[in-house]
Amino acid sequence: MTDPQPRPAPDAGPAHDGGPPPSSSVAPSRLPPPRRPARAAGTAALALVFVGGVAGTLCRWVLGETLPAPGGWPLPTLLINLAGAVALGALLESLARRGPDAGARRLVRLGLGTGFLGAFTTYSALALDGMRLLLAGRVLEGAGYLAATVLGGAAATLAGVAGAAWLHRGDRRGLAAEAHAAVHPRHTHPLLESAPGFGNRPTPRGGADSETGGTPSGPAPSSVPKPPDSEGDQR
Amino acid sequence: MSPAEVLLLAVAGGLGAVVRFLLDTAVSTRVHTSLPVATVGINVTGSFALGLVAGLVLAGVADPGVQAVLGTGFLGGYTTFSTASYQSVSLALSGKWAAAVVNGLGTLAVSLAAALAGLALAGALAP
Repeated sequence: MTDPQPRPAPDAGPAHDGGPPPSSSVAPSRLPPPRRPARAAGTAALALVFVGGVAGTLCRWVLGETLPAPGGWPLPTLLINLAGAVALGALLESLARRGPDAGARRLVRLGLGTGFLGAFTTYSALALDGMRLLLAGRVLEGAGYLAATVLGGAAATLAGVAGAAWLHRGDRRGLAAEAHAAVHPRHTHPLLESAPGFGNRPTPRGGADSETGGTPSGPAPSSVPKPPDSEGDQR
Repeated sequence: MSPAEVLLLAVAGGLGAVVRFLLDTAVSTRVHTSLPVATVGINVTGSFALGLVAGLVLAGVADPGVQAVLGTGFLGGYTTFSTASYQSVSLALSGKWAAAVVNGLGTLAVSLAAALAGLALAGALAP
């Protein structure tokens, strides 16, 4: 696999704290490799994660107190996790399509993604409630709960990604675009045909500044079209 | 719960999120695998800890308020489902189907076992 992405900007943060995959080799265009943030940026990041985490935890508690749990079946946690999965998929796809993970976009990701949605959803309650149902002999209910969460969560995440991809269909970045490139390296996604820069990366030297310049949206007009065949090595 | 307890619970959740962020950053800058091991480790350890807390409360050793603040608050904010799900979908969309399944089902299986181990440890610790 190739990694055509330029080296990260100095203020670029860790790539993997809010959900972007750690395997930068398979997602070369979205995020820079991890880099230790500067101290001030680190403090702002921690504050955003904390505030988002407080709010997300509070929302989860309120919903847990208000939503019904029929027969002790953890419906509130299921709905919370599915809603959070939709929202995180949409958030990360939307941010990825707006530009590189730096500056304001990174702060939004940390506050809303890592902080709020990360704390709003929960895995420990999923494991404990699921295990309790199984231990109580309610095997079908427990298995149903676990399957609904994991499979429903995957579907919810996909729905969020697809929804944001459609809303930002003019932009060339994002997980959905990369997934399409991974499956169909020689074709342009129908949704992205209008984006002249789809699949193109800025050249490692001359285009590096465009990765950090923070143009908010739209295909970079300066990017040079890349021959479609050159992505064949990503298989 | 009193408003003060709810506030404590929420702050504990914020601290859990910060710990998750710091751990994730520390691990992800050192370990580069296709599986998001930081998230997996966070969710497994959090599930174990919640099993332990819940077991101690069940045994009457710990106050239910402890489970609210430490369990619903801190461990709820520390562990995360949305990120785990996004990472599985991300692996699948990039063609790594096996890794996606291992990440999704493996995390679930190991977290269930960890919660059970926490409950069992609490049972062994309780008088």
